[in-house]
Amino acid sequence: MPSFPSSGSSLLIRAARRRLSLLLPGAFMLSLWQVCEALVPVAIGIVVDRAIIPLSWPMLIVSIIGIGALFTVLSLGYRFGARSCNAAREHEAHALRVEITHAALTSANLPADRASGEVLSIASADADTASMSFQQAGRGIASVLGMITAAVFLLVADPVTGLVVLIAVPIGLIIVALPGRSVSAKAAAQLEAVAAAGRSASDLMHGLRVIKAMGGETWAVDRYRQTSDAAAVAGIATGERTGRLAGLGALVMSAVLAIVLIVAGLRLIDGQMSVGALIGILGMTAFLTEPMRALAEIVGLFAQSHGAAERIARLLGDIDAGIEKDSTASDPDVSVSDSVVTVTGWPGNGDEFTTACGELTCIVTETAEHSARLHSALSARARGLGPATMLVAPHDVDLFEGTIGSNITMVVGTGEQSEPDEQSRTANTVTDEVLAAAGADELLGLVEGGLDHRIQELGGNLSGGQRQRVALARALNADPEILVLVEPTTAVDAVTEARIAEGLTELRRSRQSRATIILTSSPAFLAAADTVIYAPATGPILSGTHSGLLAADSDAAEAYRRAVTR
Amino acid sequence: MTEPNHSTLPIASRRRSFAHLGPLLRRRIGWIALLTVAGLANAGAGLVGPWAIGRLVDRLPAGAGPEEVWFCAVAVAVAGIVMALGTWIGGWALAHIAMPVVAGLRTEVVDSALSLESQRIEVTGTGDLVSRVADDSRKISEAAAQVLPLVVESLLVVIVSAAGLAAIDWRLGIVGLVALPMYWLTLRWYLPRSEPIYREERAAFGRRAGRLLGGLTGAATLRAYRAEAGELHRIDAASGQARDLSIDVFRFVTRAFGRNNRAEAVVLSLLLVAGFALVWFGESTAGAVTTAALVFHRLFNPIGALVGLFDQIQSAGASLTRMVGVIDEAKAAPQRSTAPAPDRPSLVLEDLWFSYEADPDSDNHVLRGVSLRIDPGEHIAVVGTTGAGKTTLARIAAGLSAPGSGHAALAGWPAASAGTVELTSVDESELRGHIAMVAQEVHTFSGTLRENVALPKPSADDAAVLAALDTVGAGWAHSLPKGLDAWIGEGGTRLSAVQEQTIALARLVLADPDFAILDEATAEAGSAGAHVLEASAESALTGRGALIVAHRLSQAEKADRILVMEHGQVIEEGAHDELVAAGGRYAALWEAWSA
Repeated sequence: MPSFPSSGSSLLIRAARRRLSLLLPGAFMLSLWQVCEALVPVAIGIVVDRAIIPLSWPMLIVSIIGIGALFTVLSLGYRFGARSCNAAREHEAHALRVEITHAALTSANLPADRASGEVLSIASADADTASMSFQQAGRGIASVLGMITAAVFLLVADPVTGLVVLIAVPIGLIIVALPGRSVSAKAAAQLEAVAAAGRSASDLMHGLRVIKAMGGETWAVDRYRQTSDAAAVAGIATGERTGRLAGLGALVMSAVLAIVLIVAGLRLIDGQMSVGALIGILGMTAFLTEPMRALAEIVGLFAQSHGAAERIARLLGDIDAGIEKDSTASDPDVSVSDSVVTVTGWPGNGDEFTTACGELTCIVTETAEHSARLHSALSARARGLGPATMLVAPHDVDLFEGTIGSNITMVVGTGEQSEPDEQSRTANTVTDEVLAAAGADELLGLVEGGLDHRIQELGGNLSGGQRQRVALARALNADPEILVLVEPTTAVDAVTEARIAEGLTELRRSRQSRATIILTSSPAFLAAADTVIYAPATGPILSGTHSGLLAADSDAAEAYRRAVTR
Repeated sequence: MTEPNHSTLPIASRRRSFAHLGPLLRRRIGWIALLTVAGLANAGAGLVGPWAIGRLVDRLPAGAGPEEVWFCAVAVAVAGIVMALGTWIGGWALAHIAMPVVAGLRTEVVDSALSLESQRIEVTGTGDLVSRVADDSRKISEAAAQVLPLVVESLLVVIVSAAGLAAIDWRLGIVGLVALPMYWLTLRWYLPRSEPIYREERAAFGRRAGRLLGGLTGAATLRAYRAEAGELHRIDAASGQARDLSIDVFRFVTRAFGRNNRAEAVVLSLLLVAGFALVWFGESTAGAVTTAALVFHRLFNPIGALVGLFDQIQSAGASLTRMVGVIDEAKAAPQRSTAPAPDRPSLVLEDLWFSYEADPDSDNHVLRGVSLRIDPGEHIAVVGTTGAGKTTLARIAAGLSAPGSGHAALAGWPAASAGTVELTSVDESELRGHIAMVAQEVHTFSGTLRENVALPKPSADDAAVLAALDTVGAGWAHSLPKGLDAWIGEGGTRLSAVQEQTIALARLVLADPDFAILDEATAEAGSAGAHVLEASAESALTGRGALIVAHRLSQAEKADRILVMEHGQVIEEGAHDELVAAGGRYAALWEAWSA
């Protein structure tokens, strides 16, 4: 088992360490770019001072060459620096995604409720956000170096004015940054209002058929108009505040510029400063705000990246450690030998039942907890044995992008959107027997392409009953020694259900030494079962045939009749 | 323009889309004028800084005193006040233009989507509609909030600075014009290349998201079948592909920035050389050249923003065309008449034929000449295997689909008392007063319980909503922590499948139609739940006619008449006892069911 980073910080450190060969050159190049950007106004000052005012031809030529050189370094620095940092980010995001999905899918420890939604958001959004730290690191280092360059230039060009700039600019930025937080909170609230309108629209469209069938169009539009108008009101408020903040920024920076202009102008009159230095310093004053603002923004963004890294580390840690299940004492014990399953300690401590080889056993429970406990105990046992020996087919049908055929054989292509893999199709053909037993044969007649019919993402193009039949064909096709099914036909019509019960029993019986267990209360299966086991809410289990239990005369048998009558 | 049988929704042309915005913008002409004035003042004041520096460059070495410095400083400070006001008022005005327009647009799209004919939605599927109504309008809204202010400001700064450059010296203005073709060439180079690679990148992101979703939601199945390796391989491949594309896309974008830098260097050098020449010939001063160079330097960021945002602008434009497409589609749909249906009518279905294939001569019929009459208060059950045509029959009876041939109509009762109205010609709001349908597909909207039940009748008061819930036996509604205010649906209290179906039945009670169509409305509830739902459905149907597509034969047993369907035809018809006694298909089904 690989060891995972224990915290967000260690995850980010590991990320930086393994992308060092991209990150270091990236940060270096970006710094070159930022320094050159800082030098552009300085260069303008020098050209005016040395070439234009003295009208010197040779200096003009040198100047133009210099500007060309400056912009070349600037441009290449950005291009390769940003590319390196971006590549580091993309590689890391991919690596994290792969790490998370592998851990989530291959670990037996992942708690079921974290299985899809949260892992999905961590594997997609958080992996991206955490890796954004590379760009932030690159830009951050470059901003700091850019500011240092600017500071050095200012102090060298004219210590007095330089000092004034270095004090005035940060103070100005602080004045602007103070109300900034409330504006970014407003902007976040506006984005949330827009997102809420989007969710509402999506909700209405998903329920469109319900609305149309019930005449709820007016209701729906009024509902949506409310959320949409709320978003517009929030948008206007944010627009006004953002404008006010930007206006304040312009005012403050103009004030700073005016102050610096006074100091620099008076120093020039005193003959303590050259014209070039004046242009350079004033240009630099305007420039300095950029890396400073970038740095402030980066600090905020880094907090987000760190939060995402923290969530990733926590998830990986949970998977690694495994969540302790609440006491294993009450779990039923499932033992398997020679295709015979013996369950002891379910539902009560003293209960025990054994399935016979080649037979169909149906289990009816009065309470949902009993069936859930048995289900999880059987699943845990099956996981240890592997699907060839024992398979517990989940009740919830999961279909995967591919074809009906690939969903039944569970052999998928390589992920390219190519034609269904020729090899896997011939090597894993589904027999007509299996299709008929699962009631999938008539379904294949209804869809275009039969077994090669394309299944969209999550099987959205099949109805509930169709999905259940594909899943049933999948379970029968796997042909395990012991097959456990859970309410396999809840969405199938009565006629087809009766056919499936008959076909399935026939098919499983025709294979020697095969046991089948079905958790169901459907009479179609119960009637076909060799043994029916009934677990009442309290008291010992009943065992017998469906007709025998229906005819029996006891309180428990009465409860059984109630449970299975339709 | 719009092909009614086309399987996708149309996309409006760009010209048509912008024309659609015209009237919305005209209503805000005052705000637009304010935005223009504020924006121009802001951009103009931005030129004062470079102008002041240039003035100092000229005057101070020539011997001007401190008063010149003070004058320039005051000018810069005053300009700062103008800029502050201009930025503030501009942002305020822009929000007052963009936000209501976008809100109006997205509400109109939802309205249009809701008024599309059901049949049309069946053909196009809801996926495209969700993406246009939810995703595209979100993109437009975000662009209006984040991209638009930057674009408007940058555009004004560029225009005003260009004018300023020309005002300093028209010859320098002409040199500055060299920038135009250079940036234009960058866009010419960039745009045609960017669209396909961005599209490819988005497709790769979509594939990656799909693979992640499929793999992670299917984790239980993958583990049961030990099939994780194959799915992980697909996820890795999709993620790797997306990564490689993103790296390529970024490389491409940095090349575009490189072209921007080249334009900056060339134009700056040209300005300095031209300035040198002008000063040489005594046509201009060093200060003016300084101002020109600094004005141009100030343009680096806005121009970069415009070039960098161009593809976002384009993508917002694409979203707009898709949204206007839905609006146009809804407008183009034939209007239903407002002819009133007869009071207390019968529902008459006569010789219905239906095929899902576009070809009218196709042999692949889902319905083959089904006829049926439901009188007020009569309950009719339909049983049959999957694919027998039950759902299609139900949809036609509800007026959601038009039959290929034959009639589906509301007729006066008794027969001769009033005229007959075809369902598909009755205005939908009128029709739903007569016929409502509860289908297998359940959807609980994200909102309060009250809102969910009151869907067919938004004006219903609490008493009516509670009465509807009580009718269908939804006692659980009283035990919800906040009663009718309980938040359900996505992000709210989770309800069981049975509870969600009860809400659907409560809506039916509140809608109080003459006829209810139930399409396997009790399916997928497990047997205990099914008992509950059968009782709920029975109370919901009291006093109205009903067509019940029955999944469970116990529902058929209670109906006045039962239709047994196979391959699009009715093969048996009669009351439960008659059919059982007749010993036909239904009798066999009943025997299997009640075993």
